[in-house]
Amino acid sequence: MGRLALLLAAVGLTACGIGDEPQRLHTSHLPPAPSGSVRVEARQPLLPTFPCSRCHDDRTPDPTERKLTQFHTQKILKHGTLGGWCYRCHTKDDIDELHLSDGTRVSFNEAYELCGSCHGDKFRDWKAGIHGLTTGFWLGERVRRSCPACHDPHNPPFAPMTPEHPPALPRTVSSSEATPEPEANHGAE
Amino acid sequence: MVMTFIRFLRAAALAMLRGGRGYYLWLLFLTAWIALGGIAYVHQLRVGLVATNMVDQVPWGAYIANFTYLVGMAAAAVMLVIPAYVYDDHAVHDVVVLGELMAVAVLVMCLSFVMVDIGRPDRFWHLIPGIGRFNWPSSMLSWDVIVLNGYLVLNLYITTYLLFSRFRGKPPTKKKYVPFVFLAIVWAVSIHTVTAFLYSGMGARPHWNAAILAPRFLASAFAAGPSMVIIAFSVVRDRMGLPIKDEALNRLRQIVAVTMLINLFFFFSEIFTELYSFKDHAASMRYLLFGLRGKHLLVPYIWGAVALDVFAAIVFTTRRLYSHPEVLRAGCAAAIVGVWVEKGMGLVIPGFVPSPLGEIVEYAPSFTEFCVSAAIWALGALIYTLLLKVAVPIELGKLRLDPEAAR
Amino acid sequence: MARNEAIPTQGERVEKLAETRLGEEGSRRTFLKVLGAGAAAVAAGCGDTAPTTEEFFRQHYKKLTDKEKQRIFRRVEEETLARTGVQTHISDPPPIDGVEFAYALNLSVCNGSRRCVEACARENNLPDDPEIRYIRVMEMEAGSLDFEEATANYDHDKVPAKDKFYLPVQCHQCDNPPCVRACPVGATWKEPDGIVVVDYSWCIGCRFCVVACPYFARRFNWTQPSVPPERINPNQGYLSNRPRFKGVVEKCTFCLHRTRKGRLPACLEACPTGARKFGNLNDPNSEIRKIIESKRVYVLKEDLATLPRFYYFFA
Repeated sequence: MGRLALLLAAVGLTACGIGDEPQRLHTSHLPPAPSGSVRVEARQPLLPTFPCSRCHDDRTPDPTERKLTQFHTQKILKHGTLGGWCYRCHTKDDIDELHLSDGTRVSFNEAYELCGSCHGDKFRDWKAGIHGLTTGFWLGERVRRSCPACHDPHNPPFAPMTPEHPPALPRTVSSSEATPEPEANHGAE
Repeated sequence: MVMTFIRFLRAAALAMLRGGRGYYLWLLFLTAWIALGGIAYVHQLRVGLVATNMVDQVPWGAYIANFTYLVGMAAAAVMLVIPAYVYDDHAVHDVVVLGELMAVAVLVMCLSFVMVDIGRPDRFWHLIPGIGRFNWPSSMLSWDVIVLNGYLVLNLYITTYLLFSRFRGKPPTKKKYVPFVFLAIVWAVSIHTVTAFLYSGMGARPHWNAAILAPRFLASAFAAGPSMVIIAFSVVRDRMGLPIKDEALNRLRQIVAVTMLINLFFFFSEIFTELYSFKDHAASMRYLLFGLRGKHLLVPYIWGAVALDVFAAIVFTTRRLYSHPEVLRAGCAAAIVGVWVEKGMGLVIPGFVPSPLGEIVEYAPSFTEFCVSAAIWALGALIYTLLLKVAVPIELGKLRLDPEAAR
Repeated sequence: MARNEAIPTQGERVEKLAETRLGEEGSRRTFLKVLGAGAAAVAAGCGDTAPTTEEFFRQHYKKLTDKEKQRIFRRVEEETLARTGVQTHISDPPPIDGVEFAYALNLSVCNGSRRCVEACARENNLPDDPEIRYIRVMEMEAGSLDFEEATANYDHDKVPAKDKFYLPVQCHQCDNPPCVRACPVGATWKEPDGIVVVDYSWCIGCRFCVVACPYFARRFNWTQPSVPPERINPNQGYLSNRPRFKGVVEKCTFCLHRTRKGRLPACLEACPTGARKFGNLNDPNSEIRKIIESKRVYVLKEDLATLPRFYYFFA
């Protein structure tokens, strides 16, 4: 009798899944679907003043550091400890291109190479798709934003934004109740 | 046999119609409540559950709180059955059928509370095994559907069989009902255990996720249920002339004395465990007992309930008090209301406060919820009244198949 | 409102249904018919939000044949057209073999802009009044993961606010989902690609799943939801963003009408900071795999053993 009860209990519990270790789904034996290709969004078509040579061809580059008063007056360099002058990244002899510290030319479309030459860890993450915005298809072509799409190279921190509206309060809650008084001694009761 | 049963039903229906002015006023009173609740329910059907004060943060409210409490009421019929059938207490045996009829009425209330709570009552057939799609055994709610309906069928069968036998003037055949009585004892424990598991099985809600919940449910049910039975029996004895022996009421009184103390002890154990360890999971208990972040809707409510429980416990254990029928009845009322608060809203609502994301949204029932809930209570009272109107004359021997044999 | 003449009225539908049903034998049909008559009576009291007879009789999603599904999709499209004047297209993309979805969210960069919340609402046809949102962005105290000190109701001019970080919560598509276990009628289940779906036409609205969810991910339609016609997204999935109705539960489905066709979810594409990552866990070259393999990821309420498919990480 007792043994029967035990057996019944065991069967019952097993039927309910009680006592089982929670299991992950296991479909990994199936062939993985390919995740598709990645295209980095080109920056040049997005730059309103590109090509720069349109204006700069008429001018002689002046490598002296100074406050710009005529053009690019907004472009104040606030890039961490990065000192220097426009030509640290922009190329004096070919204003439509950028260059790495070793002199290698990179186009604006490959600006990430320049960013990545200092920010190696972020660059690695970005190349792996971990950092940065990717849109489109997870299965099929993905479009990845280049660094300057989000970070102004002259002032890189991501700009603060105005958030969308807060969630509607539950209809039983009046707005005066919405902000509860902070508990004076929270957690120390 | 079938014809006899039809005559039994007809006699029962006629018996329900027989009564004085007071009886009819009582029926009218109950029907008025039911009508009011019916209107409120139609309103709720039209606009949706927005008519209630439930929100996503507090998805269950007064309906489920009442349901939870009433499941215990239904289970409490065993507190008559056990003395009568296990310990052969003859005084209780005489009235056990009245307790089982109460279980029937209460179960109808339970099922009604579930029906009014669900968002799509038109789809209730999805719950019917075979036709619908029953997520058994993994969903505790599917277990609840089985045990509640099973218990309803068991009690309907036992009471109908006993009353029908007496109606025919033949002693009931033990083989035909005693096994079901014993099954009903186990079943009664199961209905409240399963209902407790509904809550305690939920990892998402630390307030309920405690092993003490099912024992506490049973203890409180066996305090409030017999209290209700004591009051009902006093009314039946005074108004309907059924000679219920003092021993029967005394037995019930003894039961409540013990169960109420156990209930308070369980509640205290839970409070201690939650609060002494200072854990985050005690937020709900802190909200219930002291309020949290300036929100304390339930605080007076729960302390009131504890006071009523303590008062009931004192009455039920002190001879000087319980020997006065009025004081005893006050104690019963205190136990009924105290447990109703402590196990209904006092248990269900703190489970949702704070929400899984730490939000505090308080809940109090809306007018619609109040009306619908009151109507279901009135419905239960109406059903029990009508059932008593049949059962008591049969028990008294006034209602018989053979009018000659009627005294 | 322009009502399409080709659409049968409810009365006609009942008649048509009665015709087809009368031909069929079996106690089950008869039983359902009796129920149907009762339901029609209730429906009369419920106004225009009552279920049509066909909707009432509809079997569980998993029992529907392809033909029945197609008929239902067309009917829902017609109903939407009649109600709103918008021609929608309902599809039901199946899970893709070998694909297991997972989501990861970079807490270092999320700035609490709530762009995901609103993009999700538009994509999934979520109503504004009463407001239903699948994603809840919690503003957390720096250095704390305690939800009790968090708020979803922050309303700053600019985010991120000082000394705060932001933790968006949505359905975690758990592999051990407490909501699925709770449902008494099997109206919600886990698909082979990991997405937990709801059959809106089978849900009875008991809200046991809402109670069981430790992530506050499920939403109940307390009243009839309505989306203005100009905001309706016509690209609809039967198990995701098709029209819902009062009294049923819904939730995030990882935009399965997009993701099962290879696209990324709407919340991900709307994120201005690129905090959101999504992909196939079975593909070793996917971003999601690289995150899980190379970053320290964590899940919410790990102690509940829900095994979420939604990971948080700092990078």
